[in-house]
Amino acid sequence: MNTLAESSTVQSRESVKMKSPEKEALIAAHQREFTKTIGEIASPNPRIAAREVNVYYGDKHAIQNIGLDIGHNEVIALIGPSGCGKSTFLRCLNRMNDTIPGCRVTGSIRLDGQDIYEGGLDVVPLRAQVGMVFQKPNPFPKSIYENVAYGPKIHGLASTKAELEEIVETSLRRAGLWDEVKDDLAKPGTSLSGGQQQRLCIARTIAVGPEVILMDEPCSALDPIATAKIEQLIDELRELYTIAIVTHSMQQAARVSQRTAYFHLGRLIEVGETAQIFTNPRHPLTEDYITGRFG
Amino acid sequence: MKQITEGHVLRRYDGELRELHYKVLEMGTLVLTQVRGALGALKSGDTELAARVIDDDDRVDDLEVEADTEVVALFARRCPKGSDLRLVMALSKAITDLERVGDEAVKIASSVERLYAVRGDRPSEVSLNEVLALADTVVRRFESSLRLVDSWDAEDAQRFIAGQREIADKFHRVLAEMLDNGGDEAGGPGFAVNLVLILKALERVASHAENLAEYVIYQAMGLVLRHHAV
Repeated sequence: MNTLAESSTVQSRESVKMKSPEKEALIAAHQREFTKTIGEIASPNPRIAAREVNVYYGDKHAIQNIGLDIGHNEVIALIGPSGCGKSTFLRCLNRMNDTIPGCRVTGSIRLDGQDIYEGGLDVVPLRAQVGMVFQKPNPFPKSIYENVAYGPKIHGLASTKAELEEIVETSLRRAGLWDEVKDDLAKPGTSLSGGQQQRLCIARTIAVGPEVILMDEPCSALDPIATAKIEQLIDELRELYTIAIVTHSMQQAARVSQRTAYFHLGRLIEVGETAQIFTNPRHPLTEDYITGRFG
Repeated sequence: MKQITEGHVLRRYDGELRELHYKVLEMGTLVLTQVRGALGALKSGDTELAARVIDDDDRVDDLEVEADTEVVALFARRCPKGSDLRLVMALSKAITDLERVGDEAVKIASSVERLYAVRGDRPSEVSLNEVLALADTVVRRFESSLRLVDSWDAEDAQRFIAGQREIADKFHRVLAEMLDNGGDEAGGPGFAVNLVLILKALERVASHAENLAEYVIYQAMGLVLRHHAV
């Protein structure tokens, strides 16, 4: 036993000593193979194409080598246990992570072919192109009208009052809120119910003409009826936008998405058609998570 | 092939899946007893035994309704996914097949009653022996298919399905021989017709057994084999 232990120690010392760029490349290649995502990460018609994305919070390697396309008019659900990196990945897609001190992102993320991490790229229009809806509805402490009109105003999307009014109405209609608020546009956004506030936030996102809408657990603060309304809305919005949604509710992922991506400990384990992921996942970790065997 | 090794975080869910599985196995055991009883009655001419087989069908029907209720509750409350979803689907389909096997046993028992009740006569030994030999094979296969639903062993299920061609050939052979001898039956054409009905019922039992093996493969691998010729 001793001899074996000694020899393995010697061997490991030897390999450390012999470490070379070639060896490092070999190890990296092995790790890439070992951590390869199961399923097709590519989309025939990608709006967003992420490749070898890594995120570090200081020393912590939060997400590792994530590659994933998100197609036009597609809803993709990002699922996984807390801390798996799904929200971190979502926040990479409109550079929200830039605001976190000590956060570093490597790899490439392309929106319609344009690398969004390219030097000199202005993140303000990017965040209009790739809008975000958060867990808790966060309307501005202003009127319903102003909540929706604010974005188009600062982005200069309307040159006349009539144009602005049209944007506000269209956005509220698309968010399925117009009929409920059309007579109360001057009321404060915060006077609405939780579900209405969330739809107001979606209208606000839509108002600046996005291509992609990111949603980070958009229904976790809502009751089942308000949740159903948002889910119906997501299905309608898919006609016009690409949507990525982070959700802890597997039922919700199964209901609203066409593709599902399962994250675990910073890795993208498996991605596939939603029906396949929920009936016959290929990776045991996905299986354990979706069947409720994994805490 | 994935094996279910760990329980759910929600342990009651495990209990519910186990309970449904046991109910299906209980149904299978009862149906197997029915098939054996019907064939025993055919061999011995015991029409009382045949009548008991027919009576037992009520219990099978009750179990079917109970098991179906559990399936509906599982879908409603647990929204099963992945291997659990396939398990519940496989069990749900197995319930239907088992209930139909019970019906086939009743059909055999009814034919036995008709064969023996009228004149207390016996069909010709030659045809009867042919049917009984085939019946032995069918019962063995049905038993094996129930073991598959117990073990969920997909490799055994594949071997089982591979054996289906042989049994289909046997049916055709026995049927052809019976058609050749049909008019010469000691009891006249009535006997021949009842024996053909029994043969047909046995063929259905073998086919349901094959379905059970296919559900085992579906559960383990997510592969749908229905409507593919062996």
